Amino acid sequence: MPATHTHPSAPADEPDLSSRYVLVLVLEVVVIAVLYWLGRYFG
Amino acid sequence: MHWIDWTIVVVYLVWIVWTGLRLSRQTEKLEGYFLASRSLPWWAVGLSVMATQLSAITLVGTTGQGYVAGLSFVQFYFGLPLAMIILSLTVVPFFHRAKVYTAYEYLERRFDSKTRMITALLFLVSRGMATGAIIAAPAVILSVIFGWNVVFTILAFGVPTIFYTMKGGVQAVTWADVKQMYVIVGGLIAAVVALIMGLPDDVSLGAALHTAGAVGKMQALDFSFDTTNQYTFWSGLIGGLFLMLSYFGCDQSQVQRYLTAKSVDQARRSLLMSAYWKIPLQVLVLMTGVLMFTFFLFTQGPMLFKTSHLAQVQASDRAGEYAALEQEYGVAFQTRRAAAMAMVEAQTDQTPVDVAASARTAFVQSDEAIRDVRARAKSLVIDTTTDKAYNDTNYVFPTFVTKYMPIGFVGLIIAAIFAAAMSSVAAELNSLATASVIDVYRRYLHPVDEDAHYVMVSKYATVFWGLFACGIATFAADMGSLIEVVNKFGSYFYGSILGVFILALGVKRANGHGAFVGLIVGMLAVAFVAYTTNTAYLWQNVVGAVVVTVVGTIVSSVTGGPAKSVSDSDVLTSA
Repeated sequence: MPATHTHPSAPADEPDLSSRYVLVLVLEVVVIAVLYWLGRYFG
Repeated sequence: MHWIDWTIVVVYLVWIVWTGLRLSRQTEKLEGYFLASRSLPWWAVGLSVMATQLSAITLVGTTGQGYVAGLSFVQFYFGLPLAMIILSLTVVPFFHRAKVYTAYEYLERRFDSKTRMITALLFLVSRGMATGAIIAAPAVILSVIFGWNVVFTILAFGVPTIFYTMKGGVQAVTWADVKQMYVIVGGLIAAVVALIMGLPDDVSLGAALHTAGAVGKMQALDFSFDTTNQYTFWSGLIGGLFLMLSYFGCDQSQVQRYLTAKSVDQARRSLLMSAYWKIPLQVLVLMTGVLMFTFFLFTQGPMLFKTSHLAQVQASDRAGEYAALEQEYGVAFQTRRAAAMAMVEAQTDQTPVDVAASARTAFVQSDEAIRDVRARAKSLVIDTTTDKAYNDTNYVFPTFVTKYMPIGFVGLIIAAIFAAAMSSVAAELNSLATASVIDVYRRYLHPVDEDAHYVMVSKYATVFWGLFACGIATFAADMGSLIEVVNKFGSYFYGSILGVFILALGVKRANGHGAFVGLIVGMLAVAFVAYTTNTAYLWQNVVGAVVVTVVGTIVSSVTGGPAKSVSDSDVLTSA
């Protein structure tokens, strides 16, 4: 069934946050990489 | 504590209460009191979400964890960013547009009243007890460090928190949380600066971190797939994902935060703030602990940081043995200090590799000697006092703050510990009052009345839960193991509650019988796994969620599918 604006989870007229979701994932990978580097460099 | 530090703490308390009350609007309406009339900006909600999760025991316990075990605890949070994305795409828009006050309200609409009731009651019982533990833990620590009366300390946290939460509802909680996050982060940065400044002049920060790294404290990641190991990359990513989905998606204390946002977009952005900042913030907290380790390499700290046992040990027939251990500790400290300095001096490009390696080996061995003395001292304390739960990890940070930080910094960090405790407790009290009034009082006892009546009852409920939590805290203060029991009880139902919401939102054929039976079986399965295996508790969330979803789906099918017509607007999927 196609999504409509009455569906509680349906996208309404809201900004698309997909680029922010991607940024969150990229940042997490960067933070984990930095933690890995810290362990190697100081370990 | 110096009068300047006292003044800082008192000014903080007055400022927080005044801020909370000053910025509260339209609290005479139920939606204003519980949901801020859905009007708050994303950044305030985001800071409130973070402040609610960061309790005083996180601040004090995690810095201690950093001191003892280094950065590895950060892996616990690896599932959080992913959980925030999943929740932003699923339950955030769902709850927002469903116009509910509580997450459990939706479960009645989807299933039946018994599912709403059991989940709401589980939340009320476990959160009510956990709020007592949240107050008790820092109160016990501060009372030991300062020699304050425990009940006085509990009331010092509790009374102002109950007052502004009761008067201003969720708006007071949120705006106070915003200021409290500033105080917490400010306190942590002050501690980090003081620790770096406290290193000897000839020891750079980099050299100090190399010494910490030599004994494994900079090793944050463990990629082994060992389900008995509490903190690994995989337990944090997978088990942590389930825990965070449950905590942020199904626990009223967090759901209520983002229901106050002015739109779905603002609610999503508020959760993404945690997705961006939670792991870096935890690294800062743990790094504070690692820096304390480097600080105590060059400045002699106490052999054991929890000193409340001293009088009992010194009065026992093993007092001489303890004094000998203290002497041994003093010698071991001087040996380790010299080894640390030698290792620092060897960290130059001109130092031959074998010389640097032997300096490092000597330092590692001297640290092992210190840990051996501390272990024997702890064992002696446990034997003498019969306090089997004796552990001084949570006392490292408060000891450092009160004994080694300058006047003014002490007040700021004690205010930060108060802020961490009060922000969590306020959100818990507000959500407990909401579930009590919306899911119990208005649903079963008094269904129709004016908003003014429900707001009045909500204020009574806030005071009731506040006094209940303070009472539990006073009781728990003498029983360290009770805090553990409360936390363990919470871990039994987190994954299972998540399973109920997965059934509700994702399995259209699921019914109330399936959800109810699934929940009971899921909790029993988690209890069974916890008591019969060594499985790390993060994995128990996965067990709970999976068992509830599978059992709930099967029971729903056997009992004939949904008892009432389920429209596509009640679920996320039409499958």
